[in-house]
Amino acid sequence: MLIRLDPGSTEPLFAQLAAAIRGAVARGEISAGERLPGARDLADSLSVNVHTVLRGYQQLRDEGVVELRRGRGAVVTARGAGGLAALRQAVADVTGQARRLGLTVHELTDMIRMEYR
Amino acid sequence: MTTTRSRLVPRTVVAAGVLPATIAVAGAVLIRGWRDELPASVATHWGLNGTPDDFAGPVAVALFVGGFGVVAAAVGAVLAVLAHRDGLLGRSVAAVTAGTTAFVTVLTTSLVADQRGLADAGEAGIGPVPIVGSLAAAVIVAAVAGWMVPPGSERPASGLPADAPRLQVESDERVVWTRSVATGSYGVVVLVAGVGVTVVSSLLARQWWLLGLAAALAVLAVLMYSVTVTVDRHGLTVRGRFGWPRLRTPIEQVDHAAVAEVHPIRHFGGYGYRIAAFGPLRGASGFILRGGQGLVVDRADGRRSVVVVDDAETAAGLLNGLVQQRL
Repeated sequence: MLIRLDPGSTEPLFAQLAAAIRGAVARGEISAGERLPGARDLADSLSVNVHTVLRGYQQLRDEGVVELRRGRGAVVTARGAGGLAALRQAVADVTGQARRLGLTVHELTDMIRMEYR
Repeated sequence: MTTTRSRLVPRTVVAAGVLPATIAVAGAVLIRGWRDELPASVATHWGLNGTPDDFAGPVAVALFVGGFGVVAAAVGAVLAVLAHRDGLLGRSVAAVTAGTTAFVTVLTTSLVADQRGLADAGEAGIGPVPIVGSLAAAVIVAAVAGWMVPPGSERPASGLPADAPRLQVESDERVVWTRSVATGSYGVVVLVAGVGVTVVSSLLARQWWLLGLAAALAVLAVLMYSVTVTVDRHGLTVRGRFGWPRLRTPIEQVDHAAVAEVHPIRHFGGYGYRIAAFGPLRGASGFILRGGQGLVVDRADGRRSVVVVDDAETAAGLLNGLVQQRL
């Protein structure tokens, strides 16, 4: 799992971190049940605040990609490794493209709704 | 560097040859000196029930101790000098030679010493003290011999080869690569067999201290069952599942990194923390938990670290990128 953070980017560091880990899970570099690095170790490696890492992990938990357990840290879920992370990443890509094209959230969801029929 | 080179061979000869030979000869001289206090033949071997079942004259025992040590020292010195350029290999040969000789010498000498004043060697007992004591002596002597041989430092730092993998790292970019690796199925079979054989021998021979050894082996196997490999601004870190063992190659000491195919049995003789005795990675040391692509780090001091891990290519590229960024 390669994590590259660009402090000059407009995207917050915690979101860049979550995106990198989500991508690694989507590509199968981390499998279900595997633990993510400890927040303190990862913060030290990246020279960022430990809260930045924890916030990134919380976002991944809200997405269903990891579970946060007391004493065990962040563990990749079966759903996350089984395709949810890949889907989340695809949605993020689609949203980014819609923004670049100037589509509103309604126009995008309408497109998705049509695709679902 | 030149001074290290010129001192390397004599130090290796002293550690792998002179040290064990001296210990063995000292043991032989002691045993021979006690021959008037000893029975005509001394016990040299004990059965499983703790009674002696093999005997020899004191002079023969002295000759055995001295002869074993001198032959081992001669072979060890030659092998260690041949291997002294290969990283930790010369150091390991010296430690094993000196440690084994110390074990045999101290064990035999202390077992014979206990028989002074006996009329009949058939009454000679055997306790745990000589065995534990000689193991302790072996560990200390092996540590001294290993300390005397500096890790081979004759592979000149070559810098980054043109074909080495490399990831560009921007100056303000924050990067980390991390991956965990678990022992492969062959490795698990080897480890379980090792622990199993020790437990069964302990039960069959009723040597309960062997159970302690089996427990120690099992703990080591669990600690090293899986490791996490991390490449970041600090360098390369390999950490066991429970934080220990932990090996770090600081970024200042990294010359360059590459990827190589690793054959655990053929080149490293097994699984776990290993030193390669054969093959293209001769002298390299590190965690070999399974076969396949490994990350090989050449250090500025000539040592080589290796760890088998998925996606070693990215790890090597990032290390090279981080080294380049520092220049």
